[in-house]
Amino acid sequence: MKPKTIVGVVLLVFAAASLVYLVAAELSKTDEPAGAGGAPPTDLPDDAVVVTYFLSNFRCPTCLKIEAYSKEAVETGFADAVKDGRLVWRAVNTDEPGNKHFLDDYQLAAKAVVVSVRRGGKEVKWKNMEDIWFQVGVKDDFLAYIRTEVAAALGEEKGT
Amino acid sequence: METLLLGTVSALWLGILTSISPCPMATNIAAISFIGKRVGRPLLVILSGLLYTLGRTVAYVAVAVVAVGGLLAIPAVSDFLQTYMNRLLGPVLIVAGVVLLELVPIRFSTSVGGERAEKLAEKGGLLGAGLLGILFALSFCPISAGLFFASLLPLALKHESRLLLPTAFGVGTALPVVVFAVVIALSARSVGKMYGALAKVEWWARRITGVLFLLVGVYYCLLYIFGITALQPWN
Repeated sequence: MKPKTIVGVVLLVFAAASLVYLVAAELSKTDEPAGAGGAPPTDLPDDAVVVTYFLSNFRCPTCLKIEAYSKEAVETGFADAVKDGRLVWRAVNTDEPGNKHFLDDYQLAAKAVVVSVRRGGKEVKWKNMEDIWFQVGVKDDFLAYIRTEVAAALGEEKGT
Repeated sequence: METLLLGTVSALWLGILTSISPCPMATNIAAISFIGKRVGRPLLVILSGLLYTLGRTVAYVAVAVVAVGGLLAIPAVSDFLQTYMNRLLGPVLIVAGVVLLELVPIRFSTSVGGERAEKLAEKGGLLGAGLLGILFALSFCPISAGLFFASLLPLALKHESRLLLPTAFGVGTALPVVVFAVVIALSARSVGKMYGALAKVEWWARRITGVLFLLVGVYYCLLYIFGITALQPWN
């Protein structure tokens, strides 16, 4: 057998082995336990505005930027509200067990930033910040986009 | 009418943004190389580019029809395509690379030879460009999923356009790749002609395409199937 044929065969075997591994991994996956889906990944205050960045195992440069910018928009724009617990920023990985339900809850089709208002331990309002993919190109615009929504949500959370 | 035109331009721009973002870079390089590999035949390069664009557009229109038409929930479609298409892409690219480099002897028919074999290869290359367009379009990475599902589909819903806006998006995603491929192919052709080595340049272009397919294929297998996320340059 010629050396180039050997290389070709090795590559085809690698491709086939990858597919076998993929199928085996899928078959061995266990479903999320019933009831676990509703549990929040972090304890949230009963009355607060929550800014959540939803991520998955696969990251991309733009996704990392969206995460960093949204965190900065919250933590530097509303330091007092964060300190006294009226505003929470968190990152939730939808690929982790128990978090898949967020895709349906917020109709998430991609990495997303969701601003939600909680009153009396219940989420009463939420908004998926759909323009993040447009705004991420200009940092100041992105910060302003998130901060405008958070400021409005903080006003609502206070009931003003 | 004016708002539909504005929506179409926005969709085209969203497509271009998708194409020039870093995450589909590996597949874009493979596509540029595949479209531009016939440096000696500019018409074939342009036709391959058009079929690649058509492939991408057909894929996006099909997904838009399924998702906007409510046949399947948008999060489910997006999650499925992001999870499985990138995983299937690795083995497919490896097989394509092996075929392009002729590493393993493949005989389609013993009666096919000479001019007819050349014509078959041309047809195969054009069909391959179309299929590549479909496959790469469906292999959503985070930013293409974000721009398509979270930005384009709401825009398409707003304008009640399941066909025009996804078509503009598809053209936008292919445009930078096709322009690059044509420019590179024409430049390589000029250099090849200048030195009287066009056949050699084309031979190398085919080999480079095959090697790129193998590299991208192995990279996708390691990253998306075996989960070696440390391979992501931005980690």
